[in-house]
Amino acid sequence: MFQQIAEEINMSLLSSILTFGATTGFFIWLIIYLFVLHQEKGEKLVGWLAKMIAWTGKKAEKTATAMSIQGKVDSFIEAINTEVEDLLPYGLKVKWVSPELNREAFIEKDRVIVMLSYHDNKDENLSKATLLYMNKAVIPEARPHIHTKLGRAIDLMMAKKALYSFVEARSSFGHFVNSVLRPETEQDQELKNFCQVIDATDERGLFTRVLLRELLELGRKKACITETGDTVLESNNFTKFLNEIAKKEKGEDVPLTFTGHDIKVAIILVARAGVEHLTIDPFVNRVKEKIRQSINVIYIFARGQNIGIAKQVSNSCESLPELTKIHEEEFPTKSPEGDTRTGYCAIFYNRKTT
Amino acid sequence: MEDFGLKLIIVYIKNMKPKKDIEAIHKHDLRAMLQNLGLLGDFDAQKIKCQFCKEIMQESNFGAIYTQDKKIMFSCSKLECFNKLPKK
Repeated sequence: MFQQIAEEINMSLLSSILTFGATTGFFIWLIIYLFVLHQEKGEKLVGWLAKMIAWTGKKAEKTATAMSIQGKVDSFIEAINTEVEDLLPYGLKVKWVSPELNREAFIEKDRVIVMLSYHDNKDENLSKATLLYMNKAVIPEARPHIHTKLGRAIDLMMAKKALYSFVEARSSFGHFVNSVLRPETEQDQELKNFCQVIDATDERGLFTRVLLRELLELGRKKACITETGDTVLESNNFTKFLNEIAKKEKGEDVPLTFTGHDIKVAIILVARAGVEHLTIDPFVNRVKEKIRQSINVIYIFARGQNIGIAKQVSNSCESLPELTKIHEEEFPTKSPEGDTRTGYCAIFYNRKTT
Repeated sequence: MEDFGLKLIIVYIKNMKPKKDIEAIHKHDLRAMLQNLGLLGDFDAQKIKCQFCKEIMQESNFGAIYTQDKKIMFSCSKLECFNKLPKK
């Protein structure tokens, strides 16, 4: 719905360009684009402008420092949220603390105040803010219902993913891996196992799109319910289920349906497996069978040359009255052979059960 | 035009995410803050150490200042120490 409104706004802007003339219309469009439609880009622009006048005083320096961090982290959040809506529900705001704070006011609450500077290593500023932001920023509602080590692994791997995405902060990425991730996982085998599972699922596009999406839903479903340990066990088993799919070799059969108490998903992998001419019927029939089995969410995945067939399957599923398509995208993924290929994912909710 | 304005407001509100605040102090303000907390003397006398690696805190390696159970503590700027800060 919001996508549709945004498109309508773009059309209205086009008509304003025709009405007010190209220059005025362009500036109106630019302002709306930067400060309404893509606020993270506006933050980056303000940071960049503040950087140009940073020499004029402390306030401009502070604005430049804060906006450049906020803009970069918010761009990462925006990118992740296109994979799963509201996966990172909070943006980041650098709040400058007054140095006038006295001791009583300072210790009144538990706080962490990070020192940021304009002239020193900007890469370090970004990595510090990212580490602080990532702590429990991902799926906060699901935390009581997942293993604490899985939660920690998610924090670490999301920080790694974010730092890797900041092209200008690649040295921080290496530093984070060597001084935080490696030592912490070397001391804790369980944490290391969860991180390895996340790495494997992430390479296949299953980490954010399936694991985190399902944990996010689990957290919403279980809000205000006291955890007895059953859901922690179920989310652990679900993680193992996805790991088996992520590590499966070509032609190998692994379970593709998970039916827990709360998580009920089916993965349809559209692949050839020795068949020369694929038809969509076996896949559509499999989807229908999953609907009959009261599966909540059906994920259709494909890679490379199978994407065309997968899209046909997806189109056919759209005509099934029981299903609602909630997401569709193409993304870069790795094949079991290690080469990078285009991946495809479509997600359907079963109306009867969700 | 009214309709367009309304749509703009809807998209603006939708895109306005709740923010997770990260409290920060600018390097220029550090000494003033320590002064107000009554810690500048100890800082200059190099008596303040990183809670995690016990390195002496200086302006060049200052990472964070934090409170826990009404006590003021410090972390240097090494990521491995920073990573051990309490999660808020």
